[in-house]
Amino acid sequence: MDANHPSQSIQVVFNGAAETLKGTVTISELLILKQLPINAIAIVVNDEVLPRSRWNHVICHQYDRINVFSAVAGG
Amino acid sequence: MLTISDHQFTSRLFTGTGKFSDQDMMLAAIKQSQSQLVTLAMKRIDLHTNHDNLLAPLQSLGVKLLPNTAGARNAKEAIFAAHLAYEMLGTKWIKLEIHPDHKYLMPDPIETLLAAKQLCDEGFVVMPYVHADPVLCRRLEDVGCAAVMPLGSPIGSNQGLATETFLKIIIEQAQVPVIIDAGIGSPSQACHAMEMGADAVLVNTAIASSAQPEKMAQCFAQAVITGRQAYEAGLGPVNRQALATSPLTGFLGQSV
Repeated sequence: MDANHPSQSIQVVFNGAAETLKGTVTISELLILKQLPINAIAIVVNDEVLPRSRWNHVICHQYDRINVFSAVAGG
Repeated sequence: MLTISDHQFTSRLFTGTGKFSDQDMMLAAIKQSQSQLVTLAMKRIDLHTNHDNLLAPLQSLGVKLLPNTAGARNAKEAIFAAHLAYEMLGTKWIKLEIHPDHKYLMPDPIETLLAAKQLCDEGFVVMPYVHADPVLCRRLEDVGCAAVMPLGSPIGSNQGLATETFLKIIIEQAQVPVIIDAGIGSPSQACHAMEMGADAVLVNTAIASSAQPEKMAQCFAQAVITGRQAYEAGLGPVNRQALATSPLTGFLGQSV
């Protein structure tokens, strides 16, 4: 995917809330930015599950909808 | 020993992780239950709360994880949830549950069959939660499900084996393990399910909603073992008339 311009800001929707990101931010970098655990989570970008192997390579784009899921108690 | 797919279980009591007052209580109860397969749900992370690490303590108990697709309203959403679980937990085991009805949480048979077929084709170990429908259970077996999980009564209701007649037919016909899921409210009901020949039972609410979940988990563990042993020993036949257990020689009458 093409990188965003370093000085450019983009808007994404992260877990349902608007988020402004500056420059080129990968999914891995976004998780660090949001101080989220990286184990036992799954990332969904624009309604598609993004394999862990691609987190370092996929860059956030304008208006991306990014959601992070984890396991919770259930029956 | 119970075998599902390529995995063997010595315990025939499976447990859920929901509805416990806190995580420590849940872990203590699961330990006492001796369960080796526990269910989990999935949810979007709430960024404003602490992220309790549910998995590490469960894994330290040595249990196998069975993520569910709760929240899915149709086959498409359930398939998505299965992919999410695989990415999150690295397991292809999935408890397939699709219930669009929020009041009774009745599983949708048509969407469940559609999702089961696709997930089986993709190599998932599919364990579908279904109504106690013997025809549907055969169809699910035909598409490759590793087990079937018919309900005893509505989820979380503690009403017991309201579907008993149909559970017996499913058990009689099934070539895959039958796990009675949902509605089992007491150890005696779990024992009865096992006496009927169920391969396992899944219990959550009855343990979690007990005043003493650890003790209740122990009770369920004992009940499931006893029920299984009774099934293996073979229950005696049920008769409509009395059949004397003592000789009726009439000696009391003779002595008068």
